Amino acid sequence: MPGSWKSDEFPRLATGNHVITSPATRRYNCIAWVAGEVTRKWWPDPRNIGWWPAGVKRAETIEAFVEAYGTLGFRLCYDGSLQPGVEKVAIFGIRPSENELPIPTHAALQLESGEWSSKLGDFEDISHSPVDAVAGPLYGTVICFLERQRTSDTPRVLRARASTTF
Amino acid sequence: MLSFSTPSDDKAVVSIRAYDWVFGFHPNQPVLPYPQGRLRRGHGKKQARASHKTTEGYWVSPPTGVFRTHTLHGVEFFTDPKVQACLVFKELVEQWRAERRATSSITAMAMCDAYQKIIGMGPDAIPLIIGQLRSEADEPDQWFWALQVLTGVNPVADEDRGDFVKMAQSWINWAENKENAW
Repeated sequence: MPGSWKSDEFPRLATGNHVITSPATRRYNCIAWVAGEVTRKWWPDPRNIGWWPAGVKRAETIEAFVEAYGTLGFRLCYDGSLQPGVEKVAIFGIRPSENELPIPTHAALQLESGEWSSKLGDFEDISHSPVDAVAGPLYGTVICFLERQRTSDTPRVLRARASTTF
Repeated sequence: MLSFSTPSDDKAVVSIRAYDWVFGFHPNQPVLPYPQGRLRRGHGKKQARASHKTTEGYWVSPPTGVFRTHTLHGVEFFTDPKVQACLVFKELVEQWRAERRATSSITAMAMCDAYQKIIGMGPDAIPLIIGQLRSEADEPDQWFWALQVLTGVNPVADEDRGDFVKMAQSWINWAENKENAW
């Protein structure tokens, strides 16, 4: 089943490296998805439209995103390799120019299988491997990885979405 | 030919529905598919009859007020200013959704050209956006930035931020309280 996105948005997505795992919805975005939320969008926009953790600076910077996921127990780590008992997040970003810091664009969550789960804007959720299968002109590249201990609570969002038929 | 390059009935209904969607009733006169091809050569009688039948259903009485033409999907319509604004808005919505692609950024969505043009429509856009929010039901889109800019208020409770369904309901409630304003 083809996704709602256009192929030029994700030039690295090919038939064999991703699977659509849930239908398109505007109810949440990739940042919320990684945080385990499926009923609201996370984003530090200046007009307070998106939800953002209390006490974390509302700024579209990698630092603010790391801090936001820090409220859920994630800490910076070296890479996105699969480690037993460890849950990882990849934060993507784009540099507006060579001299500017990257602006966050996307986040993906590592599954226990080693695949990555991404919500593509207002489109579908997908499982993909490798992590940079969604890299490209829209999301840029992986800027950093975060990790935390995987708990029994971790896949709650995946279970919630798995019950959805489409 | 007196027919349109695209299926005229379908496209005409688009406009009628657009009007209906905004004002809650069918217009008495405004939306008439303009028989653009009437002056062309080679019109067949059969085609002319078909076109007449198409326009007949929509042209209830002669137009009044200021009318303009508007081209939508290759079909030209006579429209009054309110319908014109509605048609422009619907086009911009389509453009916006194509333009923003798979972005997750609320800011990037609001910075799209089409979205900025909707804001640039001014107060006329407010009832159109509220109508759009109503039509989107439990999948509301990101209209809140535009509504904040256009109205200067934000009726959404802090705890509802990010929950677009609750945010949409807050704005719809706000609009219902202000319904006599437009």
